Amino acid sequence: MTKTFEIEGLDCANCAKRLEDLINRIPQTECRLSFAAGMLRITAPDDAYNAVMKEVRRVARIVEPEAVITEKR
Amino acid sequence: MRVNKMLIQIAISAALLLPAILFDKITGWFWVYMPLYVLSWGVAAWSVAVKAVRNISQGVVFDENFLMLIASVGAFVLSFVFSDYKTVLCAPGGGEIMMDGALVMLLYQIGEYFQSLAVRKSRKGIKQLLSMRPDSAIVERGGAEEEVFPDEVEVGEIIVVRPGDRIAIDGVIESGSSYIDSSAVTGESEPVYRRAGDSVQSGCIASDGLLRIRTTREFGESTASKMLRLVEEASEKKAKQETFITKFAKVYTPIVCALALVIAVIPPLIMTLVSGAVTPDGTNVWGNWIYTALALLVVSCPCALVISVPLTFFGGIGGATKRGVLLKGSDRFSPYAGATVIAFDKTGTITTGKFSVTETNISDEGLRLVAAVESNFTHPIALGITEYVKTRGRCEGAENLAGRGVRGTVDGKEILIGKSELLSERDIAHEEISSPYTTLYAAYGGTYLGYIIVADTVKPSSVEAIAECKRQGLKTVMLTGDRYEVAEAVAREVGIDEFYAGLLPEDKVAKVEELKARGEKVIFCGDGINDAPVLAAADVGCAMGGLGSDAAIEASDAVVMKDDLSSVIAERKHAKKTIAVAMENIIGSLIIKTAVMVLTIVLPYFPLWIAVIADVGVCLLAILNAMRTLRGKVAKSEPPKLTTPAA
Repeated sequence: MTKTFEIEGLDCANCAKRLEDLINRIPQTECRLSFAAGMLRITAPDDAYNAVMKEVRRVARIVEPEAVITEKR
Repeated sequence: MRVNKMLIQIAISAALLLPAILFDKITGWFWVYMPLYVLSWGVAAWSVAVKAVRNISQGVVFDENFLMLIASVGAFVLSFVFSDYKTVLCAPGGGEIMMDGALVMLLYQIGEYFQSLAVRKSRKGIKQLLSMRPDSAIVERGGAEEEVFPDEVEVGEIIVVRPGDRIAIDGVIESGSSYIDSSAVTGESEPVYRRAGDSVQSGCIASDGLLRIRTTREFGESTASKMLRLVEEASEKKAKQETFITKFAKVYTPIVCALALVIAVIPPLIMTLVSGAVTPDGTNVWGNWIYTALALLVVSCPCALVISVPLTFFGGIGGATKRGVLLKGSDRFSPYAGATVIAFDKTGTITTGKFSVTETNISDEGLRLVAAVESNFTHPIALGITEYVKTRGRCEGAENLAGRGVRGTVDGKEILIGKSELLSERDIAHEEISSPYTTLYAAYGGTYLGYIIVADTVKPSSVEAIAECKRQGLKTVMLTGDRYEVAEAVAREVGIDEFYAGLLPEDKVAKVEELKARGEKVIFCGDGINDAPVLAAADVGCAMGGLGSDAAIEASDAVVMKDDLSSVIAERKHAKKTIAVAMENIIGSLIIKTAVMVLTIVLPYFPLWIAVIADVGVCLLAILNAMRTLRGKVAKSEPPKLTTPAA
């Protein structure tokens, strides 16, 4: 399953790159982050998706505590 | 970091720094200015320190926050270690290096603040562009209007679009009429009039009328959703300049840091061994060289490049979208800008793809008879004739004569329209016209009426677009499946350099491969229905006329929403500009950074704060420069083609 998220409060390109790397390190997860658009696309197995997203939010807090991730309809 | 918080932090830090500088420069009261400097630094530095610590815990050491922290802390340490309390620190201006340390942090924070602002502003510009997809739709259900999420609307339901609203889902107008502003979709600024029976695309705005639209697609498959998805995915495909920057940033920072370490240790070590640590004028060589090393740390951040180059390409994609050209990825700018040949399909690309009467010697009365018969058929040629003739007679027994023409009875007499052979078969004397285009002959009641030439007419914009291709130094080639004579006539009319006729789709692919083998870089423009293999074969495949089949979108490199060659060629200029801006940012930042590095090493006591200003300044300049690519003038349209409202 692939979902697109909006990520706000991430204003530094280095941090964005780092976050992308960290998310890609989560098992069974593929992530693409567009810094310019503030958009995050995450692919993970359906049954593990919620767990993966929890982990994504955890690492995002480490990289940039002010970052807010919201799902896009 | 929230922007307002940053601003407060900057203000407090600056408010503490000002008295610190006054006490330092004028009175030299160490115990007054020193705590003020430290406080000013601390206010600006705490958030940087938090970030640095967090990143180190994640295994990231060479991080800009950490480097700035080291540089500013280093300045304070230098003051304490290498300056004598009585003679230096208590004299007016003795806290100069401390001031540097505090200024480094303050200026860095100011720079970060402006960077955030600039990034947010350019993101807002991009988001606005993407706001063409509405979040809700009004649907008619059980006689009432209901506001729902557009993805809940089924194909075939009726949606209501009020004046000024954006159409959420593709469909056909069931009732109502309005001028439609399609600028968000096609880049075309001229509104068009649409009424019941016309199809409309999502993303367009119904300017002045209420429309009831029967949806023909699901929300997710509608034009606006598809465009958005393409643009979003495009930013994920990196241009080679972006990949270069990412790789460069990985080695640049460690190298500069290593250089700083070398400078801090080797020259003073040698000097100490040769002539002692203290120079004749009383300064310590270790202090001097460590100060230089700190300045190097300040410029070691590659942020100007890391932020501005991806922003340049994203802006470029955004700007192109504004003009109705959807590029599939940042990596497509280079081949687009570097093309040498532009190849076109003929039918539907250079020409309108619709037949119309170009010449006839039949009287209006005769044409009325012809149209009476032709109006019974839906062949493109028949449609072309019917459109040309406004009034028509009544026809009985209209019949298609298998590839030779048509016949029918009007006002009791037989009318024949078709190829020359059709009239010859019946021994009707007629002239023979030699034209590259399709020529039809008509006879009424056994006597010859005259001829009609119908042709697939050239789009008004094609001539100018092809002239523009030539001005840009591109060789123009036309590839068509049509007959040689027709191809030649069209090529001459629009001024094409080279043309190949009678080609099957696989022959077109072969031609493109042949051009590529000659070392040419080929743009191919085609309608994307029959041309998918050629679109894929070309260096840049432009699918004309919007989001047709998925196969065509998949095969192409750019989707051109407006079915007009001028968009394709205008976009090439912007592709060149985007590449130029990216190169300016890369080369400009590197030159300024190198210059600062050389200056810090060559000039004794090159002030740290100037290094910070140079570093932050070049970053801001690069961001501002990158934002130029987002600006997109909407393509100026040909003479307004407003369909006048019918009574």
